Amino acid sequence: MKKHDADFLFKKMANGYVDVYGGELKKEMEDMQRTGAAEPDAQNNVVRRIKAKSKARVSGVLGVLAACIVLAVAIPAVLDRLSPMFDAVSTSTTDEAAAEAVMEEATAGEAESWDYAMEEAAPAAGSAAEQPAADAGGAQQYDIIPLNATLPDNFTVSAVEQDVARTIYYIDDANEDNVVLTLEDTEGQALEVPEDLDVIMINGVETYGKYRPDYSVLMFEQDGIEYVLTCKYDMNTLMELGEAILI
Amino acid sequence: MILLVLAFETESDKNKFEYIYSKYKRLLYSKAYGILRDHMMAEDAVSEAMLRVYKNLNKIGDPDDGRCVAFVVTIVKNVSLTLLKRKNSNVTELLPDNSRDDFELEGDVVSRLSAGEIYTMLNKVNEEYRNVFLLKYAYDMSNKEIGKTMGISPNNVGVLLHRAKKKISVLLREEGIGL
Repeated sequence: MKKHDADFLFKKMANGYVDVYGGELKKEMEDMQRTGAAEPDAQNNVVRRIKAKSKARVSGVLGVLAACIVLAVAIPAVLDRLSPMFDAVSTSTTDEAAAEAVMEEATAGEAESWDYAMEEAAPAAGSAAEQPAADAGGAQQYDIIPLNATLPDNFTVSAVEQDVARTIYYIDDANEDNVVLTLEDTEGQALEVPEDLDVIMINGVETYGKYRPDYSVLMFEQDGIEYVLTCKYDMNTLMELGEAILI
Repeated sequence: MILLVLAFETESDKNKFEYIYSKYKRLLYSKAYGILRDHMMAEDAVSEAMLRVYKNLNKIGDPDDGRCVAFVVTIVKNVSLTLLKRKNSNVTELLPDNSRDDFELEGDVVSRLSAGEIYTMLNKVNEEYRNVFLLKYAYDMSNKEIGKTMGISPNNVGVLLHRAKKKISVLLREEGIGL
């Protein structure tokens, strides 16, 4: 067969191949677009989970605070009723007066908040009231936990948000596999690792991670800070960031 | 970014290029990353591939057509493979193949194979050889044009093309079709 005949056949084969290949690629691209469309939902899903956990934490703090307030109000009232029986205790009069003043101020709905009232009452009502007041102030005023790491060039921090005790970093990746990183002080508590996570050693540090269909996760502790990283596609993205943090 | 430095002959060329870039950039990136496993290099590969697509815009008909996707992906894969070789310091001039470049194929060989069978068979050919083969025969590019697109000399294109055809002939023979 002459060369130009062979060329004609090669041409036919090449065109046949390209038609099928193009179809395959288009299908692949549609799948990617479908995944891409779902990405914000997945991202929201991650953020929602983080916030749900934070809400539970806030509820807990508020519950403790409410219990302390009730105690702070109830104790002086009980003392008030019992005071005739303890006339000898002269200091109680001043305590009652202070506590009473606090109650009156609070029930009258005047400008002072309960925190302020508690601070005012603290010297009189006793040291037990001091601790919750300090906790209440701490629960509302968390500082942003700095991210002490040099990120690889393909990562950029696009936003930072403080969600109660957690600092949330939104990290854009050039691969569009954006990462949500949360940092939280462990306050000396051990890391709570979900059972389904695998142990992954990064730079000699034990981390825990898992590829999941909806999002991948990697978590570890360093210097008393819990790091939780999540992204949509690639576990390698998280490990790359983990390596940058765990130096 | 690329658009800033490119001069288009017509507005329609510019629109076509923009459309191709915005539509396929993610796919191109994932193909490049699949070969290079490096974000920065994959980005470079996509930029370089788009420059080459720009130079061969006349080879692309309908930007939505499968042939267009196959073309841009073939280019980005070529670029990525070249970058990978460069990274591994493995760029060498190919030695010319002395065997004659005439392949005797039966006239009805292609009609005896389905499109799926052709696809499966050509996938067995080394990717670099296959890409040259496709650019030559599916997109009617000259050796010089392919050389510019792949960043290799026209001679090397000839060598790769010859090897591709040789391999295809062998595969056809294995299938009991051909020579």
